[in-house]
Formats: sequence, structure tokens, C-alpha cells
Amino acid sequence: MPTSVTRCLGLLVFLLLAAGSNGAAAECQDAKSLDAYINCRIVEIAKATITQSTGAKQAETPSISADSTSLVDQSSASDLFAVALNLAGANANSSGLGVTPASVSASAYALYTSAKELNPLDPAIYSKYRDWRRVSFTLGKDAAPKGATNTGSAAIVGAKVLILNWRDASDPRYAKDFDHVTAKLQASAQNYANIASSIEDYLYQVLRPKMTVALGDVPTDPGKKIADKIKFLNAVSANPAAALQQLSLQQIADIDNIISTRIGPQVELIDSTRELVSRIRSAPQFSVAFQSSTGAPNGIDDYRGEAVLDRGVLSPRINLTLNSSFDQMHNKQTGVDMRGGRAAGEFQFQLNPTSETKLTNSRPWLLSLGAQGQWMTRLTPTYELQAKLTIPLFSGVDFPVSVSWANRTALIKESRVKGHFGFTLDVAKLLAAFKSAGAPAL
Amino acid sequence: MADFGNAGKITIRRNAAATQIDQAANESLHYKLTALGAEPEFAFSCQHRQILSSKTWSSPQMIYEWDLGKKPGDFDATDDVYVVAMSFARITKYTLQVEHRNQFGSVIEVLKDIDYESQDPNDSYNDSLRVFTA
Repeated sequence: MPTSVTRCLGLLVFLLLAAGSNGAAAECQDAKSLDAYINCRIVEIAKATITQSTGAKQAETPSISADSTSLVDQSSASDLFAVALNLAGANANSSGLGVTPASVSASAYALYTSAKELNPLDPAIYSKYRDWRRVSFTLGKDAAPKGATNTGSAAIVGAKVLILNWRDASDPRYAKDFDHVTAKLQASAQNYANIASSIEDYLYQVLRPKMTVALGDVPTDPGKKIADKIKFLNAVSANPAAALQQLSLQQIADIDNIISTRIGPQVELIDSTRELVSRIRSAPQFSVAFQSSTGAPNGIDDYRGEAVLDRGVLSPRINLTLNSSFDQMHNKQTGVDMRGGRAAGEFQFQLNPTSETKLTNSRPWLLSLGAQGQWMTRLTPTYELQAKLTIPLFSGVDFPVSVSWANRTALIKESRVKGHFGFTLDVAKLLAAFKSAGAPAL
Repeated sequence: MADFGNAGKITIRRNAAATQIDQAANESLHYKLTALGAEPEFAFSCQHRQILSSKTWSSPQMIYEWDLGKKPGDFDATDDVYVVAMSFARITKYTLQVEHRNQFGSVIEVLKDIDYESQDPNDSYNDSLRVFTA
């Protein structure tokens, strides 16, 4: 087996293992505080957690790139910046001239807040300038298609405008829904105060007599009880694992019982949040976009104006994306223009289970199945099918792997099969993950 | 492995679970909640009432501050639990700071200084402080 192929397979196995390690469930026994333990037990008992994350924010190189891992364009881009790098190489019809397709996307919001030196993650700024996130720009370079004889790369330029932006959770249309969630949050907070009080009293009763070495004898003087209880609660919260280890199975069951008898408001909060998040993620989203790929030596200049629609179908785990575009190709060798249209569609399936009885990691594995047809003057119609697996590596970093089949290309009248893999980086999510900053999670 | 919910991460610099406030000396608690992201949804309640929420402020902010114990009736029981409940539906990071202050506003003790982060909009978290008043 060639060394390069072995390295690629090795990298793929490493990445799969790294991604697979994301799925570990929370362990209540390792809680960092008494509150963390109680919160964990509440979620376990409520058994209501949803995990899907939106897949409709495109970070990949636009579809106009011959070596893009994306056959179909999605309706929105990253909130701030996104970088896409198509590393691979398995395309038998690529020119192989040493150019790695890559693109950088930025929203107008990111550019505006940078220019004004505003914190893009300040909630007041984020809400005030929400319409600036409707517009995004892409710059990149593309590999020359097979048939090109010179080295060099084409320049990718693109712009996208979100006309319908119903997946923006800060859209005023969701204000009443979030007021409802806040009301549930208030009720759950008061309910939690009573749960915590009962559990703390119970722990003081069963654990305090066992902690005489660390805290001294249990005071009998009522005047000293409060100070003793404060000392006890702070000691338990500082090292909950040590305290919980001293509980019997029956005592742990007693704590769960305290929670169970008051679980109602917590379940209502989880359910109302889940319903709203699911509804926003499935909402329709529509954009118009322009892309061009120009400047490849002896290559073809491509121009595309397209409309893009995203919407959830059947289940919150399935997203449908439709593209309809007007395409123009200019062959610089012959001076001939070719015009036509393109239609493409893609289903995205979230592979992660969304069981309501398990805690699972929120980063989704996405399987995409897409097809497109392109009808150009002077050319035989082109049809292409693609399957793609998007593997989440870390928050904000994805690893898309795709394989596609086409009956022909613009330059070559023969069918082809190509495979690609690359990396996409969503800077908003990376900021949140690595710089302890935050971006809207939807 | 998540510290809470599906994707929660907790960074604790200081976390008291309980404290005592001398009401006769006009001591109070000062809360400061910093949020990063879109619009925060949070609530502050005790065992007996819902005290305030993010809707108490007319527009989204990055920093929310309030006091407990400066007004008569703020403490409605001599032994009570005060909870800050935070939703991560549109926010990915909260920093909660709670200070025990004297009548002049000087800090007697920092009781809480904790970061709560989550990338999962379904996550929420409750932070509690048991307060005994004398």
C-alpha cells in the first residue's frame, strides 16, 4: 500500500477515535460541587435531553469549487468567520497541480464589529446588529481543473444574503417563546431552591456524624448549629465526591426520591426548551448567493447566481437543502460562453441518537446525500451524486469526507468518481471553546 | 465529559455553598452575572418567591448586577436557599460572582466566582447559595 494512502488511513482512524471520544455521558459522581451533583441527578431523573445541533451553517468551500467537499450550498454562513481547507486528493480528475482548495468566509457582522472595535459576543451588540449577520462574504482559491496545462489556481469570490432568517434565535418572532422559557426557568429555580434545601438538610443529618475528624463533634448548642452547618455544607461542596462515597445505596436513593417528588418544574423547563430549540432548528431559511471561480490558467471561468432554501423535514434530525442556480461558464481557450441552470438537493441526517433517556454529546455526526443536475448550452447535461460524512472533531472543527460520482465534467466526456476530505473551522465556535468566549449556540 | 447537562463546563475559582448574613449590621449580598452570546435567559429565586429574571431588564446586556439585603424584606426567612438558574439556549457562557458586603459596600468575602459554559442550547444550570440571617 502506498505510504501516502497509509498515512491518510492512519489520520482518518485517529480522527474517528478522537471524535468518538466525545460521546461520554456525564458522571454525577464526579461532580465539581454539590450543586453540580444535584443538577446532574435532576437531568438523569428527568431523562429528557436533546442533542442535535444545527448543520445549516456552511463553513465549507462553496460548491462552485471543483474540489469542494460540498455539492450543495447551505443558506447561512458562520456568525463570525469560517475557514475551509480541502486537503485531499483522491480526485482522479483533478489536475494535481499542487493547489489546495481553501476558502475564508466572514459575516458583515464580524467585519463591522471588528472595524468598530465592538465585542461581537456582547448580547447587547449581538441583538442590536443582528441584521448584519444576514450578509457574508467568501474569498478563496480553487484547483485548476483537469485539462489545464499550467500551474496556478482560480480565485473564488462569493457573497450570500439571508432573506429569510428564521433560524436566528434572536429573531423577534421568538420573543414570546423565550418569555415562556424564562417563566419556566423562574419556576424551576424556586423549585430547585427547595430541592437543594431538602438535600442539604438530609446530607447534614446522615453525613455530619461521620465527619467528626474533619469538623469536630456535632454541636449540641443550637446557637452553634448554624455555623456548623455552614462549615459542613462548604466542606461537602468543595469535595462532593468524597462526601458522596460515604453514602449508602439507600441514601443515594433517598436523595433521588427528594428530587423525584419535585421533578415537575424541571421537566417542564427541559421540555419547553427542547421544543423551542427543535422548532428553531427546523425553521425554513432562504438566501441568495453569488459565486465566481476565475483566473485559472487555460481553465474555465465559472459564475453562479443561486437561491438556497433550508428547512427541517419529518424530524428535527433531518434537514433538506435545495439549490437553484443560473450558471455561466466562459472558456478562455475558445472564447465560447456556455449558459444554463443547475438544480441540487441534499438531505442531511444526524446520525447521533437523540434518545430522551440518555445523556449524549451534542456535536452531531452528519450523513449527507445529495444530487445535482446541470444543463448548459453546448454541453451534455451533467449529473452528480454525492455522499458525505461530517465528523465533529472539536467544538468548531469538523472533518468532512465525501465521495461523489458524475457522468461527466465540463471538460471531459467521461464519468468520474472522486473522494475528498478536508477541515472546516467555525471561528465563533472555536472562540467559545478555546478562549472562553461565547457565541449563540443555535 | 460534561460537567453538567450535555456539554457544560464549570470553572470554579471560589464556590461557597452557604454563608451567614448579619442583617442588624446591614450586610448584604451583591450578585454580578456576566453573559456572552445572544440574549440571556436567567432567573433568581429563593424557596418562597421568584425574585427577578433576565426580563427584569428591558434589553439584553452583558453584565447584570443586583443586591440582596439592602431593602427590607429582601431576606424573607432566616434560613433560605437562593438560586441563579441559567439557560444556555442563546448564551454559551455565564460568569457568576457573589460578594458578601458590609453596610458601606466593602467586600467582606467573595462567595462565588464561577464560569459556566455550554455549547448545547438545551442545557441549563442552577447555582445555589444557602443563606442564614441573624
